[in-house]
Amino acid sequence: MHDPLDELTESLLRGGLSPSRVHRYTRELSEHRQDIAEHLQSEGMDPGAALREAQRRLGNLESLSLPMLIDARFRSRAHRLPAMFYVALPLFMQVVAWSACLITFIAAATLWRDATMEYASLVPLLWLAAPVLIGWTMLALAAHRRTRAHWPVIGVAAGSVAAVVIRPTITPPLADLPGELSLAMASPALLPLVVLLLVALLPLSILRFERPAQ
Amino acid sequence: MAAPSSPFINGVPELLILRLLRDQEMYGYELVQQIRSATKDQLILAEGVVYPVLHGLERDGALRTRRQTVNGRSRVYYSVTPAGAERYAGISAQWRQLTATIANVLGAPDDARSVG
Repeated sequence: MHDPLDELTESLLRGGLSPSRVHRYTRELSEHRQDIAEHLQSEGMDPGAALREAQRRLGNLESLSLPMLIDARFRSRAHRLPAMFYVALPLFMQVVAWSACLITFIAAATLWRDATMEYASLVPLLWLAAPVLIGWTMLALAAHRRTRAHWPVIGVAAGSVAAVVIRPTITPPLADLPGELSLAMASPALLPLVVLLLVALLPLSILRFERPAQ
Repeated sequence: MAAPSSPFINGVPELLILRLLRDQEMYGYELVQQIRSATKDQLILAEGVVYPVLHGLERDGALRTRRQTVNGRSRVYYSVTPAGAERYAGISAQWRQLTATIANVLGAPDDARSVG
């Protein structure tokens, strides 16, 4: 059965409210509607009529959505600062993930020298996995927030380019020789960049995004 | 014809909500019943419109919330903070001044209002 509150949820998410705010608001409205309906039923009204009357008393879509949409205080940070949320934040997370990866490698090389060789071969893989996993997360978040795809796609592209341009070089320590870890910047190789972008943007094929107004 | 929306009327739900929640914490449905009862059903509004006001007041720090499950239903209880009590005092003083001013205008003789 069609529930007007579902339509309200969509309208508020598209308007830039955070999902947590929207879900709390619609849950409160739903509880309120149920309270009215139960009260009316206790007075002898049949369940269908009680629910219709409860919906009428609650208010129509416009009266319930407009006060939330016109108040800028309810807009999420992601809606107000999309470049920060979908581009700068994922890049920062990528740098943190890379740093964690390198610190773990250094710790492994110091503490468990036997495992260093295996871990050294994993680092380049983790290096490329970071933008993919972060990109998937941001795309899923954007779809959940009914955001248009362009900012998350720019974020994914920026992360992928960074992963191809900045490359780690690792020489594991040998018995009497110290290891070496370096970062180098290189012009991006086209094929790895395209493959990485395609993988990172894979969720676009299954997630639903808002289309720009015609 | 419907009465035009007025900024005076728009402030009424906030004033009533702060006044009623000053006495005791309530959840939304309870609050609307209290408003209906306190105004003897003279003030009819779409019941859902109290929630944007409640959320706005909470965001401004005028209300605090706590969640409680009662008979399997999750209720959000609202209560007034010290900042909310201060806000209520300010708004109610403005409201009293406004209604007194309007009452004076309405109570004045016709010739006094037509001067000028």
